[in-house]
Amino acid sequence: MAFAMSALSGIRSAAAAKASAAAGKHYVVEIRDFIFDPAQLEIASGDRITWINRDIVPHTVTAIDRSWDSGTLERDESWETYVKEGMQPDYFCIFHPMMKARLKITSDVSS
Amino acid sequence: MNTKLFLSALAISTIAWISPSSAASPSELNDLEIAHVAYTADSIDIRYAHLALAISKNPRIHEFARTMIRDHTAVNEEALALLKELNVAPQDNFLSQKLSSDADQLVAEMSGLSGDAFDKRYAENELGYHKAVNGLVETAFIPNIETPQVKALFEKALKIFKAHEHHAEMMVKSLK
Repeated sequence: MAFAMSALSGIRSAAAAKASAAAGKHYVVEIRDFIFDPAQLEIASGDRITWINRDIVPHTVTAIDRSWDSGTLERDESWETYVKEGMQPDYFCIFHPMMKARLKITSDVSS
Repeated sequence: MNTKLFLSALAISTIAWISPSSAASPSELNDLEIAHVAYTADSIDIRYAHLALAISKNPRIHEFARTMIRDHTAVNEEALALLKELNVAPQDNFLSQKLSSDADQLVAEMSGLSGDAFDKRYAENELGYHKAVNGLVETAFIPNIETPQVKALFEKALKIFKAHEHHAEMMVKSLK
């Protein structure tokens, strides 16, 4: 029974790893000193992006058309989203609108 | 070493430690007085922001004011946490008192305004206030702060306040 259970979890882990690899790469954008770093990120559909706020003050990560939005990120809080073809690539911080950045999205997961 | 000279130096340094500072210029303030000025300056801007939320009908002014409340509160909390860690208390001084009395006058003036007149006055004051405080922090405070952790906090805070200055500039332009 124990052998069957561990074999099953092994299959699930492998399946999850395969799904994760097929879903694309993982990128991290740091918010530090009122800058999104990197400010321009080249990604593909299916990639995953995590934003982490390293500033004392809260920020947001918000599409310019409000189609995607992290909500308030306090210090050291993070938020992630998967990249979808056709999603709004330009984003900013609602609290500090001079903070702007852009995603350069390609549709090919393997590129 | 000359014992008489040593005892005189010790007496002078002890009196300097227990007596209030007689600083007459911002660059003469000690670290605890500088911390007090920073806390006062933050609190004043929070006060202006609450006034703006109460009087202005402009959504952009409201967004800016809420950002000022969020950000200056965060800086003050960071400063208080640091002072607690260092086991010291901020010291009142001539500059904190001057900032407070000037703020009282400005609040009285802005309370009598409404509509576009208030929005313009608030935005222009935010730009001028942040410019003045940033200049003070950059030229008079940071070069003279002795405690490394306090200096590091002020360097972080200056970046925040410069972003505010830029934001206030955008707000002033949008109201023209």
